[in-house]
Amino acid sequence: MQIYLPIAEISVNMFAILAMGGAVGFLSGMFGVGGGFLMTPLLIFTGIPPAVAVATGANQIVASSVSGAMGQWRRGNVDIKLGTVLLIGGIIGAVAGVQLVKWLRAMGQIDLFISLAYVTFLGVIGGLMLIESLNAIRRTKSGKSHRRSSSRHNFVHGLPFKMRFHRSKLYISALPPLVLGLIVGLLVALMGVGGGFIVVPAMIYLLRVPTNVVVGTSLFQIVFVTSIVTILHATSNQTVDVVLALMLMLGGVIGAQFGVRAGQYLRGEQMRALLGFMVLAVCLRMAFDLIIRPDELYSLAPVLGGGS
Amino acid sequence: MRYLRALSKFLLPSLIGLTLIIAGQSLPARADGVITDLTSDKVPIEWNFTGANIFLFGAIEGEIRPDNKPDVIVVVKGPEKPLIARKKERIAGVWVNTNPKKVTKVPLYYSVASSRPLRDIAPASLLDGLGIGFEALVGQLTTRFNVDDTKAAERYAEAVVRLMEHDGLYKTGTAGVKIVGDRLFQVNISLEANVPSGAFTADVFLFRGGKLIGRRATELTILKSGFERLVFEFAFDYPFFYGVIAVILALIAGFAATALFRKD
Repeated sequence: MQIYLPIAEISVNMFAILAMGGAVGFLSGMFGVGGGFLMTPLLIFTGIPPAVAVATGANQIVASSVSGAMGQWRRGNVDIKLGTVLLIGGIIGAVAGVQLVKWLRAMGQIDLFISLAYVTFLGVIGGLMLIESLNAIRRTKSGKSHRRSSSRHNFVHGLPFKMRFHRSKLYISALPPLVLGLIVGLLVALMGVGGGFIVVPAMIYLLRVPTNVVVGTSLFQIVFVTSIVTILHATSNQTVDVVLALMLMLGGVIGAQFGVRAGQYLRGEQMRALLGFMVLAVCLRMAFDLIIRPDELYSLAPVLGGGS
Repeated sequence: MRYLRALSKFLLPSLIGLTLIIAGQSLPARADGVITDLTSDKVPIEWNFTGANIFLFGAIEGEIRPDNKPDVIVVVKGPEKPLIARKKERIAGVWVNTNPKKVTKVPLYYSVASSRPLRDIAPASLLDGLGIGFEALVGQLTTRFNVDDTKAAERYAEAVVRLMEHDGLYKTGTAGVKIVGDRLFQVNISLEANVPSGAFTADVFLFRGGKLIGRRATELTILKSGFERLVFEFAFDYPFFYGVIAVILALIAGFAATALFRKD
């Protein structure tokens, strides 16, 4: 059944969008990741304008992360103080990111920017995931195992503005979580991803936050940052498509339930390798679209602010 | 037929009774309710998910000889807006939008329907002068680009028409006008879901032997209704509240999912 998306201004097949939401939800349930970095590119491949895909993606992540965040909250796995510092950074990043999107839209360069950002991020993350997981598989096969060497102190401990984070049992500078939050705010606003794939490792390896608090605290921040980004994009760019978002949420919620169950039958390293392959495939497809000569060289856009 | 002829006497010299009937309704048996003056009439159309259809009816007045039948062309034009056209160029291996050019006025909808192929009805020079057909439109748009190089402006104008046609906003169809009997004609104007609301004009041209013998313009306002339109207007009129509602909907969806799939 064809349905007209009021903000994206195209007609799409409702079941195709539901299936897409379901597939990404399945993968995110299976791998325990947000899935935003797959959702936005898939929406772009479907013909949704990239700026709409990003803003709507942020809206969809609100739905997919709120239940997890509430669950973690109930179990007391949220460091509110650390989460608030991350959130302050996140808000700054979100405001800056949304303004950058507005400016790039007026310049007619937003599509290119989003594609380049995705090619870069997916390439790096997919590549690292694949290398890391393939090494892990090789190690388990050869029977050897060696612990990740980690120094007890890193540059984080030399920075000023130290704060005590009781829940995380940390006494560290507020700057690294602030900057980390800012990066996440930018990623949500510019790419429509939750940023968990950056926050979680950074909190573990850089800030040395105890693993039981990491997921809850990052989800806490993601719910708020994606909500703020949704409102900011709606206000300055009018790029949030509620009809599209609701279909993605519906598909995603159902898909995630099955994904979680399917994930129990796969081993960690194999799952990461599989995800790495998928991320690289999406990256290649996006890069390909940037490089091949488009069928239509011209494009039309409404007059937004500047332009000649 | 008598009622039509009687009405035509006081309505128009050559053409009468442009009437719009909303798709789905059938033509009433009596003419009284059908023929109206459409000047700035508001036309609320029930939009479904894919768009809407408008039927335009008219009648030809005057003597009709079987060997020299008149031709009808109907041009429907939507509201006009400035747009920016850009051309992609390969920079460092990647295709990048360059050379933004503003075009002062672009009709957001344009359709031509005719009883025979345009070329068989009248010479190109006459059609171009009247703004009938894509070639005439390209000519008009070329002058509206603020570009010194006419050749380049023409390429941009051609691109505008091509892109709008691709989006289903510009249409051309030689079979669009159906002449029923000798005097009555009917045009089906299909509007896709992405057609904007606003002031439209339906221009009906009557040709005989390659010459324009009659013309009648009717203004109509297309009002889109339905859920999608509501969402669109809300998003642009109250963007902050729209964003807040989008977030609340997402929160509800998230909580509902948790409640629904809770294990215990």
